[in-house]
Amino acid sequence: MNKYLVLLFAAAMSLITIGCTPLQKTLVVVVPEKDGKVGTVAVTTPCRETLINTAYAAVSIEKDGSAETLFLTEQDVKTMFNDTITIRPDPPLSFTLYFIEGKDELTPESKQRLSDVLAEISRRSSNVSEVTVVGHTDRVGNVEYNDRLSLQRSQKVTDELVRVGIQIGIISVAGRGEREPLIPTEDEVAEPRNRRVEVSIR
Amino acid sequence: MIQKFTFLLLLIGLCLYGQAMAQEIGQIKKLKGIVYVERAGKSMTTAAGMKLLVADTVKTGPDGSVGITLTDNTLLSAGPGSTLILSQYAFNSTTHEGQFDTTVRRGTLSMVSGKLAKQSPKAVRVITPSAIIGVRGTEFFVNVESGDNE
Repeated sequence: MNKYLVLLFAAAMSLITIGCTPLQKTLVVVVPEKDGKVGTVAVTTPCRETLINTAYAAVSIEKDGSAETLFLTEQDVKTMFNDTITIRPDPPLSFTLYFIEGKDELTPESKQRLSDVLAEISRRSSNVSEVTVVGHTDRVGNVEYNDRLSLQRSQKVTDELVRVGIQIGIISVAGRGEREPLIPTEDEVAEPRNRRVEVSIR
Repeated sequence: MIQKFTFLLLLIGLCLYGQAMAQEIGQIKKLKGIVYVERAGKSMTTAAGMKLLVADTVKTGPDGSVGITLTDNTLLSAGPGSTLILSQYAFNSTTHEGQFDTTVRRGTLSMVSGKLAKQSPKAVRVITPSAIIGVRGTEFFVNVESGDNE
């Protein structure tokens, strides 16, 4: 029992210590995402929690631990954080390519789209890109058949990437069969939107 | 016999643990100036393309900056004179569940949150000496000024 009391006392003391230590001046600012949406950030100090959820709203924590909500401008943020903005990685992108029923052959539209995929991979520096190619099928045919077909589809796309000079080492290939339909259907239903390969570039 | 079996189980457990620890959690995509990664007590200079592991500390020099993409598609970047630690990371690529804690000792950080923050509002935190920042699916910046004793 005594042991617990000591522990409790130690915990209480450490809390008090945190409260009294001069803090490092800290600023947190939330900005709109690419699509204009603004999320929420909760800033919790030993004394209180502040939520910021409007564009360019900020919390400034002073050395004495006091926290104040501010409203900055886009220009303020650009000036203060320019170094982190310019070095930010390219956002991950994914493309969906569609296939002809029961085959590992791309639809004519998706053949066109494949060149966009190639262009995007080539645009990024190849030694830092990671490409994931995942094949899917609709629910026509049994599970084993669709596992095979989905892998053939992803392999087909991978071959195409390698053929134009993308290093095989940065590509990982998988087949998910009929397990992850984009559009859920009953078994044995043909659904063109589920016959696809998803290429993710990170 | 039972002892032997226990020992074997322990060994398997340790191996699995080791593997889980060595799991790659992200990659340095962009880099400028001098950037160090500290891992298991060793400091290494880095180049773009380097894979990062849980518990890595990333330090940027006075003119260094770094851009990192994590496996859940979180984008992190740090400006000059920054120290950040990838304290905790777990991401289930099927369910998108997990946890990501990064500690910023000093410097500037920008984050565009990824799948973890989308899946669960409590999954992503930035820990600074003065505050804990909970991230609910968004883009934001943090600046931590150096302490007096540094």
